[in-house]
Amino acid sequence: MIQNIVDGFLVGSILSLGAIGLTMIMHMLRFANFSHAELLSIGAYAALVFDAVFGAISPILQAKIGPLSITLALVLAILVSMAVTAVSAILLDRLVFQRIREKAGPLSMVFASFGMALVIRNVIGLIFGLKTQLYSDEIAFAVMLSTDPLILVKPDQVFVFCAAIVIMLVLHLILSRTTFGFALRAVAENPALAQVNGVNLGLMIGVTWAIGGALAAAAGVFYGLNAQINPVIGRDLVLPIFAATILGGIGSILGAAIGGFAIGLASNLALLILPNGYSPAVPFLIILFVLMIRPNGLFGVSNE
Amino acid sequence: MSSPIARDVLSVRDLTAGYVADLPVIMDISISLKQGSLTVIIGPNGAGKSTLIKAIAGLVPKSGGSVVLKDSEIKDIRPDQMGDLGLAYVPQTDNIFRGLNVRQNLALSLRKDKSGAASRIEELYNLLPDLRDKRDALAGSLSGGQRQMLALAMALARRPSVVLMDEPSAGLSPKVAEEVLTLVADLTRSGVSVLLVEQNVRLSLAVADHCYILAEGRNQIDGEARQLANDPVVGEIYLGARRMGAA
Repeated sequence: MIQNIVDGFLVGSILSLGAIGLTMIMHMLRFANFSHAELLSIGAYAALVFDAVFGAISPILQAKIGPLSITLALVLAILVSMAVTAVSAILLDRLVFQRIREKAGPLSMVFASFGMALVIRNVIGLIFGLKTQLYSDEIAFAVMLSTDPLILVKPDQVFVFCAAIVIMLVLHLILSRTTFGFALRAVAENPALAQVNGVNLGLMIGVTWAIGGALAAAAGVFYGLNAQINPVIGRDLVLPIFAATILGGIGSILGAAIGGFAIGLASNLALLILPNGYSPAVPFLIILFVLMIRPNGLFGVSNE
Repeated sequence: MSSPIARDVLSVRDLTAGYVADLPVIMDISISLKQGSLTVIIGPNGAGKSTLIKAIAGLVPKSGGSVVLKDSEIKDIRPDQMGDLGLAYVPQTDNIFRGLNVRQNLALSLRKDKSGAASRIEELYNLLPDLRDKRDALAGSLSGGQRQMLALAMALARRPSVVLMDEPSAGLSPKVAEEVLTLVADLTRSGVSVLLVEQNVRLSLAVADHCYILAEGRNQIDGEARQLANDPVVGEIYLGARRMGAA
């Protein structure tokens, strides 16, 4: 059971990163963006490409960091993939969603997001193929933290967990301590009032997409480090990320972070009582339960 | 109170505007605002009062006419740039950010003036001491009167020359509404000009310098507020004189 909890926290940290970006975009633009999870795929594959590029440029960058299977090249690639995915998210908005929201309602945006999810997933499949890939072909051995109960943790998993927490803390500090963060929160709460208080709405929408994209990229790479990279990462994670967002409450960064950990833990603890194949149903059940009991989630506020 | 030689700080000429193209809510409206004056716009529901000040603030598309602020026409300017020109707007409802505390709301309004933000916030606390006591409280937890004070402080933060206010007394108790409108009137002594939309006709005419009456999206009557308050026709239509007499 403790092993399931450890795994739950790890998966939860990845889901939290995805859910924070999703909740920011959903709250600001008032639509359920089903293409958000595909940004994780873009980030994961961008890091794969840049890892290879940096590794080819300089052999020094191929050196592993301590006990991790992660190289300096991959660390740099993660940073670049966050930037690439941020730009991709902005382009997605400018080329697709901005045009639709100027002419149509939120429902059209939702359907467009379904469509874009399919397009992105298939383009990635066309470019990179359908077979799974890894950032490192070497086998990463787990460290035994305890024999009774048996607890195994890979150094990469500790890195992923710590990096996810650091990213969330940095975002929290930006949103809670800077006027830039106040402006982002203001636009999400009341766009018209934010505008008359001097906030450039278009700029802030772009920034929100960029933050969502960057966090999704980190989540995608961390997921790839923990499992494998394939073109259906988005399809596999869209439901847990939505469950985390809805559980935390649309618009709540803290809620999305806690929601991610809750879904990660629930999915892994469910493995104790459910056959492996039924575990993906857990987030769906949580969504249903939250919507029935507390429609605004744990920390969400109504937009009405 | 405005002096007789005060110049127009805001001049609206033949303004036509509406939320949907070819369906204007206000038509050919002209108003002017003297420096350091309080001007009130009254009229029945649906007269276009709120639409008028939203159009001036750049939140409703204009299809005709002009808005001139301090001798410069406001044209093709985004709502977020209005503050740079010296124009502030306070909406009727949802005029503060509930998820931010009082200090954060003020800091947000002063985002473009970071160097002087701390001292300006102190000045605003001195002007509205209730806000100092509540500076760390979430704006969503404030009372109705305190919210209006905060909204007003946010509007004043960047030292605007003109403040547009949409029914600041709405939803407040009569006592608090009087306090808020008296405070608004006091602001004009510092040279700020206020254009106020109000449903509380008696109270607003008592504190205002000038008044415009709108109906069906057009100018109907305008004049000095005290004269209009004593005008029997205005009293009958807008102050309920006939009903009061009948009673």
